[in-house]
Formats: sequence, structure tokens, C-alpha cells
Amino acid sequence: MPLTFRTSRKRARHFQDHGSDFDALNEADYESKAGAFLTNPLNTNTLEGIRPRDNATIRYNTVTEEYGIISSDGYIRTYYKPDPTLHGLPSNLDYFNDNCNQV
Amino acid sequence: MIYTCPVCGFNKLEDPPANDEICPSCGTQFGYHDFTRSHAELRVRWLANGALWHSRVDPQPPNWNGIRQLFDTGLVYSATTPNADSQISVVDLGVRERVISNSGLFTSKVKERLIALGNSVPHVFAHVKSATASAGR
Repeated sequence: MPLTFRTSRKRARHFQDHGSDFDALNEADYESKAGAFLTNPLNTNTLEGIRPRDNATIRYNTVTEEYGIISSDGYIRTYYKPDPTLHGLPSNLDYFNDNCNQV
Repeated sequence: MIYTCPVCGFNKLEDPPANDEICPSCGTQFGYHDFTRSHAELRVRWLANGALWHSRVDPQPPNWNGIRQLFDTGLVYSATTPNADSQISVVDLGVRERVISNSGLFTSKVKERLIALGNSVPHVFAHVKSATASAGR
């Protein structure tokens, strides 16, 4: 079964804000790209962590800057390319690491 | 269960403001935009940009007004500041009643919207109206 957002409305909202990060053609294309990023076998550039706070799985690719989260019950929470001017940390790697350390 | 956005006061969130939920009103993605910034800081930014409806997925409620929403939920209130160069200041209750604008943070367009709104909700904006009237003399 391919990964999905919990609801079509959540998918649409995240597509509105982040679809252009990946040149996604539509909501389904965005969801498909998110699912692929979050389930493909890890490569040397992709980091993965389990956040203790909620047991969400977080992935971050240090080259493409892709960043995504799967909830502990198996839904896509989000998929985007973080912007340090928005999250406020010096780098996206810092953002990934800080997220993975949240208890 | 319905939740209220701590940034803009939108009171029809379907889920708690956390875990990458996106507020349709102000566009805050919780866990991302508020990772290092306070809700008050995000509120100031949204307000300074005009407090416009964010979502293209969720239709804007009829007669919705972002500035009025902030005042109605008590996140900000208006006041005038004696001798300020601006006739309008907005006090944010999120950071110990910090005055978030009395010196040019708002664009003239936002100020126009505040004044227009003040004319429609005089019980909230009495001071703004009086300040505007004084400025017009």
C-alpha cells in the first residue's frame, strides 16, 4: 500500500505550500513523491531518525534538501524542503537533528 | 473537537496546532514555522503582511476579516500612543502586552484596513477612531 496523507484536505494543504518545492504536477504527484522519499531504501545522502516525542519517522536528504515525516501510525505528515529563514536554525541539518532529539 | 490557532485566533482547526498542521487562516505550519519563533512573533509577521486568508484549499469564511479575528479572540487590542508618529498602535497580549506596532511596522495598506475596520466595530476601535478623527483635522 502506498503511503498517503491522513486526509485529502491535509494533502491539499501541504501541496499548496510545498508542491512547488518538487515541481509536483498535482496533489497526487506530490503525495507520490513524498511516499517514495519516505519509503525508498536509504542511500548515503539520506538520514533517518525516530523522534522520541511522538515516534514519528523523519527523513532528510543532505543533498536534495528533501525532508519528510511519517506519523507513528503510518501516515505522511509533511514533505518539503526546509528553509532556515522559516525554521530559524543555521542549517537544515541542524533542523533535522533538533527534531530527532525532541523528547 | 475544534481548536484555536495560537497565532491568528482562527477557531475552527480540526486538529491541535502541532505536528505539521497548517492553519488555513494564517498559514502557520506548526512544528516548522514555530520551531524557534514564538507565536507572537509569527502573529506580528502575519499582521504586518495584511492578515490575509492563507488557504486556497479551505474557502475563506463569509465576511471573514483577519484583523477582526485577532481582536475578537483577544490576541491583540488597539490603543493609541501619545505623540507616536503613527496614529495606530496594536498591543499584542502574547508577550507581556508588548506594543507591536506604533512606528511604521504596518504598511499604509494595513493601516487603511485597520481604520476601515475601526469604523465598523467602534466598540473595539474607539481609540483608533478618535485618533483618526484627530489626524484628519
